[in-house]
Amino acid sequence: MNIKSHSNQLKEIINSANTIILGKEHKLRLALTCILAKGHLLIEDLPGVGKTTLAHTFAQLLGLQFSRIQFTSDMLPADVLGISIFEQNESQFTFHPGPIFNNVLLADEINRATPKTQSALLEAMEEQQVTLDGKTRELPQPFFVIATQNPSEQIGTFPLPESQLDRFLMSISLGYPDAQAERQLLISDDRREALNNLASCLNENELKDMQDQVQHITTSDALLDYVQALISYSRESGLYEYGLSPRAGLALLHVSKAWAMLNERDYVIPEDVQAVLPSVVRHRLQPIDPDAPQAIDALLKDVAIP
Amino acid sequence: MTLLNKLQNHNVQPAALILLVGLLLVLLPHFSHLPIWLSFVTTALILWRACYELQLCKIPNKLVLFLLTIMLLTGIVFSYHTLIGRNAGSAMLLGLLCLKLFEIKSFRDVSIIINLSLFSIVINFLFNQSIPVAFTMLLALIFLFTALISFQHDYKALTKTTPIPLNLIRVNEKQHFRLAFKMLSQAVPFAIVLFILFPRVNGPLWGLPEDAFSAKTGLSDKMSPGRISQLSNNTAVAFRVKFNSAIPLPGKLYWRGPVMWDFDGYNWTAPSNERLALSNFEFTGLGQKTDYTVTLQPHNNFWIFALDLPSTLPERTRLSANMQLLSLSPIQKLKRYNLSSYTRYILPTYTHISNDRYLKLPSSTSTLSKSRLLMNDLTDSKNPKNTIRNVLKYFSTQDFYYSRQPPLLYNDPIDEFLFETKRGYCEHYASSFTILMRIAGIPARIVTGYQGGEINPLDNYMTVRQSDAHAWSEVYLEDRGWVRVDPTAAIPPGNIENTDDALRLNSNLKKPSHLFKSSWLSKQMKQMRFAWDAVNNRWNQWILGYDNKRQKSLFAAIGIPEITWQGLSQLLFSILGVLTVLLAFIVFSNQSKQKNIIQKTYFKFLKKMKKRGLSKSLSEGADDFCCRAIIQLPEQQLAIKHITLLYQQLRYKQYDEERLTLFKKNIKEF
Repeated sequence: MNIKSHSNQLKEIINSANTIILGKEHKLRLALTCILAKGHLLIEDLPGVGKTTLAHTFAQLLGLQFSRIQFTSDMLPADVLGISIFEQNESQFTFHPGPIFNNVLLADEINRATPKTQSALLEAMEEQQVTLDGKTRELPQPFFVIATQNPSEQIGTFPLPESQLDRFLMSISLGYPDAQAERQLLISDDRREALNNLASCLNENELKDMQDQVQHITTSDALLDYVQALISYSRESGLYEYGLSPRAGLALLHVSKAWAMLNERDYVIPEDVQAVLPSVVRHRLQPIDPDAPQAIDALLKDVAIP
Repeated sequence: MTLLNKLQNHNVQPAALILLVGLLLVLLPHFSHLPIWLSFVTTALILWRACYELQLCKIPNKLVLFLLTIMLLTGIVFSYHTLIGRNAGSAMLLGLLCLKLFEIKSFRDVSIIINLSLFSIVINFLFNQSIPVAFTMLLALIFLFTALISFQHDYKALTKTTPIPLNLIRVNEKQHFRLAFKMLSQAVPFAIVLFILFPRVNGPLWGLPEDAFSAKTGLSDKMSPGRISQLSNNTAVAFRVKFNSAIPLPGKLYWRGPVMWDFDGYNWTAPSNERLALSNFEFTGLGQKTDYTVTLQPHNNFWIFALDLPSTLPERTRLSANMQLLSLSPIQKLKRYNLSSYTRYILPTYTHISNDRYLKLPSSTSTLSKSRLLMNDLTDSKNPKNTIRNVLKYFSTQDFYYSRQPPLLYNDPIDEFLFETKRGYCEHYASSFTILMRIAGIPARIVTGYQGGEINPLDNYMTVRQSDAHAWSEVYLEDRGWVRVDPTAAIPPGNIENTDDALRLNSNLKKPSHLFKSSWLSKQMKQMRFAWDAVNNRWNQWILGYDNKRQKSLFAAIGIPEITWQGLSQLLFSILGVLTVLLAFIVFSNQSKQKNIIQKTYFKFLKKMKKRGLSKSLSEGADDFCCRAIIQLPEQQLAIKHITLLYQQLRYKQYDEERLTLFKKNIKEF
């Protein structure tokens, strides 16, 4: 286990990303954790807070191909997955891969698309492959989707059903930058330009290696007790519509491992779980009382660490 | 394919070997009473099976097994002339148990063998209840339990019919042993409570076979030359005595046993109907009364031993006309009784004494001719006391020897002894003295019993052994009644061949330095013997001799003077209930002990932090708490960080003794 050797690279990634997206180090770390845990990230936020920049930054830093789809209500699955077109010169169908055939895909405003298109994307995300015209095509590895979602109360949205939200490992919201970051943002050069000049810190193989190493992070009985306590609280407290699913529990544990690795530890401590918990369960837990913004915090506050 | 074959394929034969060792341990004490051939056969069968387990040989087929069984049963019938009863029955059971070893087809057979072995452990105690046997059986119990666990585990792993308990997965034989030991130790408190509180009844709980109490060594109701001297090397304990008052002088320690007066020329006997003659009589005790408690080893006879002469009667006993104490039932288990005796006494005189009984000589006229001639010289018809004195003087001056291996005597034992061999043990002297008295017209009889005893300095119990068995005479003097005369005491010390005997018989004897200079080794040996004897005595007093009386006195000592068996049962079950709960609590809390140590130590740290005004909420992680604490206590941040890191590593990474010690040390110093 060479946590240390990776830790420098991970640190470098965070530092570089920090120069692009200012004052959001915690969010950047969560996003990187999501990538290390081989999961997809959902960013739920207003337009213009840096969602695209974030996705782009990570693609650049990790040395990955990047593409972006802006979802609209008239989009079809083919616009995402690709299409076979009859080439008259060659008298045969040729497959034109869609934007999904990239390492990092930014799916912007995913809830503007119709459910049909949404599910085409989400299925591809889950299965890491695309089946078109009876032929299965593997997606490039690593494959990582950052989807953004506008707040669902906005007009012209098709909210994602719970089952599809579950496909996202984590969900975060960036939020406005604080005053100091805002000021720096205003006075500095164009972010986009700086982004293009960013040197990649990793290659694909190194990333895959790190992703594999996450599996080997130690989780003790005491920690599993805590995770189980959290899950059963979500099911039994009566604060939420549904409790956390077993998949959510696995996700929580896996993300905690990645977070521990990011923090240069080869074992998970309860603080790791607490750090990632909101972003793992936010899109999975529906508080019964929608006006209780503290519903997620209750998990952290009311569940004792055994 | 048998189960064991299957097991072998899975490399789990240790289970079978453990079972065989356990069975051998169970058999070991049985060898002392089994016929020699059966001891060999059972051992051979076990070894055969062991060789098979080690894949060195094959097991016999059904026909051979059948023939073996028939031969075994025939042999037992030949040896015991029966198949039932304690001896033959246990021999049959053990033999068949060993044959069953070759009939293992399923787990059921294994469990039958183990259960029968456990039963054989109990059978052992019908023969012998000593400490070594008890310990061997304890060891056997551990082996049998381990075998049971191993087989159960392997069987379940093989058949997968039932889910295997988690704690049995991936364990080796060592862990099976540990589990067996653990389970047995958990049973210990229950065993102790059951032992102490289980209501005791008078007499045996269930009927034992008639032959259960046979073959005990010791005195008998017959005396002939050689009878007592064969006990002279038997160091088995006859009884133990605890004196509650001053210990009498060694010369007064005559423990009265069977009294005999019927002489047929060779054997002395006491006609059995005489036992019922007298129930109370009076005598004058002189000097200090001696109070003592006797713990008598079972000897399957009616007599119980008392210092000459007892002035009180223990419960369920009576006194015969010969002043011998008799129990109402044969002594078949350890018996404890309190007594008082006067070692100096005067017996009443009778107006009439049945002279034909106490003066009777063998009817044959061809014998005793020389004795009669001798008595013509020694008799003082006016003063019987002079006659006695003369005879004793004759013994002391005529070169008589006291020997443990006296020469054999044939047709005329008295004359042969007195005038030819002149070497004899106490019974020779007692018997010839009594006969000489009768020739002189003085009523005389033989008293057998024990003389002396050894005080164990470790627990102040006096131990009387079979080797202390003795015979002496009593003569009737018209003015004094029956008077004890020990002719053996007349032998000059130099004529006593064995130094132990010399010491025992002559209490006034000064230890001649050349004779009794004991080496360091022999002193140590003696010390060890005392210690072992004291342990045995405790075992007898408190384990084997724990009867309803002891039970009652135990409860009286803790303030419950009268306890009924209903009360006992209630107490028994309530204590068992409490024990169960307690044990369950200990077992369950033990499971998380490792974790608990870390947690407990960390709580100490939290307590110390609380004193400094910082308390950790339940849902707060140690790391977060550490960050908060450092801000408050920046001067101690190194220690706090270190403790937190150790805690996290111990609890969330890996348990590690070294780290734990460091962790404890850090918190102690904090």
